[in-house]
Amino acid sequence: MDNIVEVRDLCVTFKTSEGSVYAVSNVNLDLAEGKTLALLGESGSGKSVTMKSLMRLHPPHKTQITGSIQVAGRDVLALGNRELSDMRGKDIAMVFQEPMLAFDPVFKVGDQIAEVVMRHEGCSYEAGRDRALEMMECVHIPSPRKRLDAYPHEMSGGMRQRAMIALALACRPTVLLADEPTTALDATVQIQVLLLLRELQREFGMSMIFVTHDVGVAIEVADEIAVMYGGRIVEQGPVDEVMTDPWHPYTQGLLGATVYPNMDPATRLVSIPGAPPQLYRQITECAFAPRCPHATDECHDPLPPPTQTDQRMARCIRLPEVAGALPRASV
Amino acid sequence: MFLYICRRIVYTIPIALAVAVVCFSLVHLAPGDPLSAVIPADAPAEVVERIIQAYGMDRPLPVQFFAWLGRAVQGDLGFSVATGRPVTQEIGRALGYTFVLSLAAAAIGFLFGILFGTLAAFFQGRWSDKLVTGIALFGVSVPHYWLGLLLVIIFSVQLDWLPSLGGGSGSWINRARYLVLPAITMSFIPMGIVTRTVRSTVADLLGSEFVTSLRARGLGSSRIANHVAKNAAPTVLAVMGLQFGYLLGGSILVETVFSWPGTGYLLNTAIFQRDIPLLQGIILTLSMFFVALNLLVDLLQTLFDPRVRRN
Ligand SMILES: Nc1ncnc2c1ncn2[C@@H]1O[C@H](COP(=O)(O)OP(=O)(O)O)[C@@H](O)[C@H]1O
Ligand SMILES: [Mg+2]
Repeated sequence: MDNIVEVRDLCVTFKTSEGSVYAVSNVNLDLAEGKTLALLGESGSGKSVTMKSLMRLHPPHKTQITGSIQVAGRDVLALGNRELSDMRGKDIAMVFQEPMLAFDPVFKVGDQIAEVVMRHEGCSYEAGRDRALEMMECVHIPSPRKRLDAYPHEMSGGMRQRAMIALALACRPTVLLADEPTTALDATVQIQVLLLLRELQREFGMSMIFVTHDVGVAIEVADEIAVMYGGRIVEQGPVDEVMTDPWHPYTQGLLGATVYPNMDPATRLVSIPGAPPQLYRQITECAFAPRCPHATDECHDPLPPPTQTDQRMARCIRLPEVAGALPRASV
Repeated sequence: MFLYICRRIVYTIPIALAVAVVCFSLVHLAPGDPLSAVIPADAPAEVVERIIQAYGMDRPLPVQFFAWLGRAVQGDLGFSVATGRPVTQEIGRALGYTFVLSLAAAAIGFLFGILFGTLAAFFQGRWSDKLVTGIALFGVSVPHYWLGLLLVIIFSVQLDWLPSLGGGSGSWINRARYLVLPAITMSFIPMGIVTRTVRSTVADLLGSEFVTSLRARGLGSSRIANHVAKNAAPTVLAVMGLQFGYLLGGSILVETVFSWPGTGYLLNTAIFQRDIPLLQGIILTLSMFFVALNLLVDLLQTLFDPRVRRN
């Protein structure tokens, strides 16, 4: 199988004044061409850090990145600055969680899109603006010609996120990273933007990594799913299998705590007690153990290698006993 | 936009009026009779009476105020008691000198302020940042009349490179030589303040999500610098505008140290000679100038920042 994104043993550590933050540890990800991978996890689990690593967007002198990252055949961690910026926005693009913060507030939206096109295709300003208009139509922004000259604050939240998508797709990237693109939006707008992304992904033939903390959204968009906790992937596999038969107690907990399509209306929602771990030390045991209903003493020992089949992976010392504990989603 | 500008201009009218009232009352609030400076102590009562009538001081204060204001608006601020020349003429000459000095000081201060601030923001937390921040702190906190004296001792007395007293005369070059030391002295405060402003504004922007987003678009450092500059401009311009304003207000101490014949020096002279019409005139001119400056900075900011423009 051809993987357009391949991440091996990725570790990201930040040096801060309060010590090191072990934000991401030993992450492996595979994204096949044309597919969508959902990265699921509570906030603070390291999803955004992982995404930014794929484009090497972390401040260089405060960040230590090890492992390997392959995107569209390039070794991202070995690229020079010039090659890196040639790749960003062209081969791989990102849609951010908060479009209000991700647009430059004092430049017109149309000009910001045109700027990227000019940068990567070396075309004139007029050609860039033409592409911007085309992209605004593509993401179904009403009266797109007028909106080209709008400033980000003059748009509604949903429209801003559409414009952000237009910007990200302007140079036809092969990989799109969507970092919680719908989290900041109203519920009805969320669904529209979600459907738009799915439609555009098919139309442009892109591969996509979709970050979310919402199980329902992951089920809606993804082919594959990776569940993150405390900076590690705790479970990974095809979305229908993972959601119908979750192995890891954390995945089970997430399913039990959320509403998702086709769920049994009689199911009671149970939230996971406790809070995610602090990342100020390298966690070698199971990070979820303090909150896990199945935890025993052995869970506080260093984790053995993950349990793996052809398609699936889970990182729990008590497998296979705890696998198959309810609840399940039907997809 | 046009409406906003009009409204903003109309808002300044009451402020300007209030300033005028304060200027006028200053003379009547100050200890001592405002006329005692003009009238010899041994003048006969009849003469005193005549002078009081001539100055209109026998009329009620509000009437005096409006008469004074009416004349001031027409550009008549009376005559200097000390020199007998029109106050406007005295102020005009001094303004010219202060303006030249401010321009030179602002050019030096802003140039280095922007340079240092940007440098510090890019190398945040490293030695170059600490050095620059130290210079900025020094610039803001060092008493600048002391700095002026120090420069005089080094460059005029010891090295004998530059003159230190007066406004200079004759050729363009010769006048410029007189300008150098006071301009450098005056540039330290704006340099320090602009450095700090640029540093914090640019550092905030560099750490913000949108700069990450610009990098994620593959834009190079020059394009990103362009975005950052346009975002930092409103804040930095506002601070520079105000700093230039403070410079234009003149500095009594520095102008006195260098005997630079600007408004600060003139104000000093007026105070010591109890030259009330001159004093009133200078204060009115300077405060009106600050009102206008604030208006201008505001309008410029609006022009640069689309977010302010909307409200
Ligand atoms: N630049 C940074 N410096 C220090 N810590 C960081 C930095 N970026 C992220 N972190 C930390 O890494 C952890 C994971 O963050 P993030 O990936 O943003 O979580 P999320 O899954 O919500 O996207 C958090 O604890 C966060 O505080
Ligand atoms: Mg995040």
